[in-house]
Amino acid sequence: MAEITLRRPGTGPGRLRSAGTELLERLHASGRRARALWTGFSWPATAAVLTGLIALLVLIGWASGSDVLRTPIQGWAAMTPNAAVGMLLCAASLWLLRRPAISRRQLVLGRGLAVLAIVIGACTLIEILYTVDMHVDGLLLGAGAAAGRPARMAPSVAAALVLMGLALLLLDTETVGHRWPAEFLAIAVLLMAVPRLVGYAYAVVPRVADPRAMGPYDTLALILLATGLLASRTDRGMVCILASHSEGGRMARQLVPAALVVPLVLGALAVAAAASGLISPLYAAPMAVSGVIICFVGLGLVAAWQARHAELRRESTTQRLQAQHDATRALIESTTVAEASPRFLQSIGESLAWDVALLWQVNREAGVLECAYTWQRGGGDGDLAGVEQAARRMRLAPGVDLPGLVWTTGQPAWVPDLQRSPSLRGATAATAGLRSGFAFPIRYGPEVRGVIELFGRHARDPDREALAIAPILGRQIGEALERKRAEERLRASEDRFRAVAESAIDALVTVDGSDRISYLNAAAERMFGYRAADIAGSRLSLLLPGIGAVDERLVGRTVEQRARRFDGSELPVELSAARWTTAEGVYSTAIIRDVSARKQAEEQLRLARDAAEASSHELEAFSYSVSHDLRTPVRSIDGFSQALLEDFGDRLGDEGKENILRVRRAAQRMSQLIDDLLELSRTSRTQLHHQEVDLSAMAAEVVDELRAAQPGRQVEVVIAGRVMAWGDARLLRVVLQNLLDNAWKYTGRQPEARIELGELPGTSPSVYFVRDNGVGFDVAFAQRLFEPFQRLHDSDDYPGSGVGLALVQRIVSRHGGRIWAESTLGQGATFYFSLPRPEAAP
Amino acid sequence: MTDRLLLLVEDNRDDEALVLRALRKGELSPRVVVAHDGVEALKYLLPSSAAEERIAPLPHLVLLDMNLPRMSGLEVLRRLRADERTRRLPVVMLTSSREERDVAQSYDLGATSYVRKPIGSEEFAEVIRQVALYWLSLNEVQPRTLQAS
Repeated sequence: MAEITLRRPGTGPGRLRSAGTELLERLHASGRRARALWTGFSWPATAAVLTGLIALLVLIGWASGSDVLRTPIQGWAAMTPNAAVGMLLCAASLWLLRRPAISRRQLVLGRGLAVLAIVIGACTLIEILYTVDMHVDGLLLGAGAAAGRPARMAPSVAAALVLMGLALLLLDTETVGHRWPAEFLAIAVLLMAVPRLVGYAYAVVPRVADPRAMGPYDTLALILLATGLLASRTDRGMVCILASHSEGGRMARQLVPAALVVPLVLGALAVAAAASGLISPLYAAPMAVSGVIICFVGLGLVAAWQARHAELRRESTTQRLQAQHDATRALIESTTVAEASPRFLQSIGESLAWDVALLWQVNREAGVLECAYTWQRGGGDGDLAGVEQAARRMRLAPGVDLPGLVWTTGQPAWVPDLQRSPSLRGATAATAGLRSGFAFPIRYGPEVRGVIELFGRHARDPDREALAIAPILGRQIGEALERKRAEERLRASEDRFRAVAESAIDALVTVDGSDRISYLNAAAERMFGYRAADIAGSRLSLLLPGIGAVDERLVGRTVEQRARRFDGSELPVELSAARWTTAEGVYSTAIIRDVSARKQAEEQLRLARDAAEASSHELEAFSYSVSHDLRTPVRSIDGFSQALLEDFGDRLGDEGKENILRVRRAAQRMSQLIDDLLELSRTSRTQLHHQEVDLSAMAAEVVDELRAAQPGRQVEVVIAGRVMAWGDARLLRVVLQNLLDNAWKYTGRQPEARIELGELPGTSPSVYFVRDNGVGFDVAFAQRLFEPFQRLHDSDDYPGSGVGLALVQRIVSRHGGRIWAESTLGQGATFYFSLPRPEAAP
Repeated sequence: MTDRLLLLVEDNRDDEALVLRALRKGELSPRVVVAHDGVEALKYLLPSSAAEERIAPLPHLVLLDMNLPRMSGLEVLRRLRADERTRRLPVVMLTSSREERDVAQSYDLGATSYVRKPIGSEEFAEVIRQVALYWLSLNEVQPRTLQAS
């Protein structure tokens, strides 16, 4: 039963089966013990010894000439010396052969003795049948023969001796159809001897010595030998039912001896009573039969009661096994510990007939037991709810209370009556009407992981079977819970992985050891246009034509590849891989990133850069040719105008000379314009070389040059001390030159001209300014100031190309700064410019 | 001064006229040979066969414009410096360009001097006068032949 249940395919992982096997072994062990009791008594040996003793007794009697020892009752047929020898031989043979596995020497000797017994019996039979004297009878004791006593054994004894010898000889011989001849031979001997025994018991056998009758010693010896022989091989034939461990065997062992003994005894008693005159001989038979009927009805009832009892016991065993099975199934079928625990508590509680079941778990950090799950018969709202609630609030130290005790000892504990053991939470339980308790440990390996505690409403004596099953159940539950927890952990990590994988922007494709696709995440499905289910099992090269196999070369690095979508279109991807090994083999995950957007951007950037380079080259070529070719005609205009003045000046007259001079001035302005334009262009292109620049010193130099160019002007110049800036010295000089030149120029009509250079305090980035009190400009035009060739003043009054401020603005903005101007017409102007410093610069 | 020979390589006829005028005005009267492009200048300076053997001797000074048809001034300079006969010939680059790149390249190729043509006619005349004066009279003339070096 246990085996069938537990080995049902699919229900049991190995551990469960091993626990079931353990249970079976326990049952088998108890069966072995029962059989040992039966065979340890060893009827064959006993029978052999008793037979040997009888034969020896008889022989001694013959040897000493004493009649006393030859027969149990004087006047009854004695055992002949030859028969005694034959019996002795058979007894010795039975002793040697009583066990199936014996040495070859023992076997040969035992069979040899049996053959001798057959020879003695057979010779006697031949003498009787053919009326010859082979002198077998006097073989041993001639004296006995001389004494006039018939020393020839009875023919029935001789025949029985032959049969017995044959039975011993063929003890382990099996015929076709799995029959054992020895068994039949022994039964034949019994059929010959038993009636004789009954006869003796009923005293119907003539008491005078009948030479052809089987004597009582012969009868006894033959019955002993035959039963001993049958008992020596209990594992086969008809005997095995008697010896079997089954209920039937037990019943047979009870009924068969009774069937032999009861009628015999009752019959003998009735005969004896009649003979002695106690009852009328007429009543003897009815009385004996009545006794037999009563006895057998009684025996039948006893047997039936025993069978019923055995059945009940088997039912309860089945129930317990069912409990175990249900508990295990609850554990296996549930996904989580939280789901499994109430279910197996219920299974255990119901099948073992308890009313409350509590699961205590060991909290290792705190070193206490905590009640994690509860169950009670009839649901949680019954009158036992208080016990559950109280338990859930408790934290038990080792050794405290029933669970603590079980935790400490690691052994199941049974409390038959809680009222007598108040220390074991009797108080709580008793108020709730609970009387008995049982607790057993939940183990994982040697460690106690928890305790299952059960309470019942009635006092209850320890149940041996429950106590025996508890450690097994505890281990099963412990292992299953641990496995469940491991599964939960695995599932959690799988869920985590899946969540990460599914929400990943990169495509993830997992392949097995033979590069067959086993997993695609959502991003991969989107990227390739396949559904994971459709592509599983395909080769990776379907997606990545350039990749034959995910090998070591791909692990831990990034390679660029072309990937192919479902519709055949291709896209550029970046690919890297991870590899791991499981029990099922090597797996790899390719991490694939769509880089088409990046590729496109790169391409655009490249085109833009090329275009910029091309235009920069064009610009360079343009300014180059400007610097060469634009200048040349200007030079010609000026040069030949000059030649005209020198060579033909006297012929031109004053107006002609003035016109020529205008041509020359225009040519020179043109030349200046060209130079300024080139400077502007060069400023945009040249590399900046940043350094710390002393603007104060630089401004002073510029002002010196201005003063030198126009020594007649009186201008008050105020330069703040140590105005420092971070930038390209050459370009910053161009800035100061232009700004100071402007200031100088536009204060030209101011009687008390004043120019100031400084830095605004507390500004970041630093803001510098150049202020003058010149003509200023209209703020409405402030924005146009910095556009090339824009002029706010008449060029005759204030000559200039209009490029200067454009140049200044370009330089400032190349430094990452800003330039602006403030002015009130007629009251001067202030130009501000900012120059940021990098973080690391001093 | 008349025994001095000057080779002017200039494609612009205006500039040619202005240079000649400046020399004249500066009262310098060297013999002047004018080549109007790079190829012509090379043909004069480095005749490739006996048949083309120069009629005139090597000049004492070459005024070389940069922008020339057929072969640029820089290329002419490179070839002159690559040839033993003209390796030491004084070549003054005379050009409108102010580009740093042009100046640097000229010196790298072995220009003797680099002079920018000013726009103003007085300055132009003055520059030409000074260059000619310096290279044709003040400067010690270099040995003509290899054997003399």
